[in-house]
Amino acid sequence: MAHTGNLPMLVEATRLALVVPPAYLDPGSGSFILQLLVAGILGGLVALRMSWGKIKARFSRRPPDTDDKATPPEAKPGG
Amino acid sequence: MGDARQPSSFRDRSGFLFTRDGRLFRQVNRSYQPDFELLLSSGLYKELVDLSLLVAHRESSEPPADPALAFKVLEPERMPFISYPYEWCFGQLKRAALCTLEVQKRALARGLSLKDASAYNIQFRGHQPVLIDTPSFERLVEERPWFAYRQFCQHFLAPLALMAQVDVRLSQLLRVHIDGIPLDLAARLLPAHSRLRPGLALHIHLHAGAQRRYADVPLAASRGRMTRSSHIGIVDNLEATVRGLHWDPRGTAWQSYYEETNYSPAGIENKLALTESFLNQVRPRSVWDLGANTGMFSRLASRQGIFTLSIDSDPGAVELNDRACVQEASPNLLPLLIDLTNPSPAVGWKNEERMSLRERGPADAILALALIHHLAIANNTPLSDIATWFSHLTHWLVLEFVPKQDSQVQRLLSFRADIFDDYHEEGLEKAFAGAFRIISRQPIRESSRVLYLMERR
Repeated sequence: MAHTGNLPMLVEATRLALVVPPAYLDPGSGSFILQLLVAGILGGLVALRMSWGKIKARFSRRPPDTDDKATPPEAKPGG
Repeated sequence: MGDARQPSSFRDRSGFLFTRDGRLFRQVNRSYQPDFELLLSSGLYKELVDLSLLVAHRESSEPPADPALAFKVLEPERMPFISYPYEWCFGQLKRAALCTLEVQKRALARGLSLKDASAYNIQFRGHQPVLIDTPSFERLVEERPWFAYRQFCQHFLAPLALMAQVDVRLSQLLRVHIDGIPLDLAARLLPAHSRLRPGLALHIHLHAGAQRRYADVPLAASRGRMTRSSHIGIVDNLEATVRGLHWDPRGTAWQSYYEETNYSPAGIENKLALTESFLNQVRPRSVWDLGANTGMFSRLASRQGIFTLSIDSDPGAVELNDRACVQEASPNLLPLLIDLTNPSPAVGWKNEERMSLRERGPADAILALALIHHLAIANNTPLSDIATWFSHLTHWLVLEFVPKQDSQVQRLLSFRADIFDDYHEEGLEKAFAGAFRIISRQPIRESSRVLYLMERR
């Protein structure tokens, strides 16, 4: 009974032990957990911004990172 | 061999700094070898050095100071002066914070991360902040939160928020709290409206709350994983929060000093010319301008390529000086916020981690212009004590004597008893005679003031 009770915890601890390798600085539990809590939102915003950049690039006549001076728009294939 | 291990270099076991025969070296330990090699092979080291965001080093053939642990010995580029966050004005601390975040962003893009975000790892080359701690990088473990997040908030965000939203003088809390301002303290001191700013609400208020709530929760019990995007998101959000903080000097005592002073235009021209001629006479390699205000006279030295500290105790004056340095892209001038009546002490472990101002000297030359009355009268310091203190700090001394009849001194004496019987030129010369030899004495035109050039005995 003791075995079956401890096994899932052991598996979980092993999985997380890989996530938290030792470091010389104590990150602080609260600081650590807060990041995990907001990771989804802040990461999502970054992903959204990047996709929005891609959408804008697709619909704009010139990709934003193209060097305009070097390549006039009429010279671009399909431009 | 006479190696001296740097007292501030003990926390991280990746290596340490030591000096040998006056040269600075960094031992990189074998335990740091994989991350060090990744820093170089990823191209991050070159990228950051090319952008002046990280100090350059060369690999040295010097024997290590601790061979049992050593992987390599590096000789890093030396900084002209080591300054500390509690000596920086708002603008300098903000640039140091943004430099740290820029380094972290570029590290993330190459699969590395900063393992610490200490403000003491940043130094200024002129107006430009630079990371001096080469072994601050480690391989990014994407799913793991940023270990240096708390340190960044304590070292940079909390003091900047307090300076911007409460009082600029709260930067001095960094002098007491050597690992940055505790977030619960920052949260208590910040005004209620700071909670309306999403960045401050998250990184200070919620962060302080999370620290309180999860203080006893072991890290291994935390659930969830980070992604590359969430790492970037945290850094982006911190950057936007830092960029959103501003402080402007208003009503600072020195802001219009040069306009309001009792110098005539000819007088100030003459004082500039005399100071410059003294500097040309002694050709110093380093100058500390004490009581520099916004640095008009510091620039006489820095524009000649002399490394110059421009020290003042007024946060507004230092801020304006720093802004001018940024505009001029000045490579040799470093404005610092230091109260000369209570200069930076040695602090930290064994009183050795952060050096006192005196330990970081001496300078070749000191400019003490329109300063003596603040020390002798406003602070009641005996003239002979001032002479002794200056002799610890410099070889050459350019000193302006401001006599009692000067309106600036009259202003200081207007509400107090004149107990300063020896405060006159003869008294000054007598008090300084033990420590200094007078080389030249020049009256300043159209004023009652006198400029001295002295050499330490």
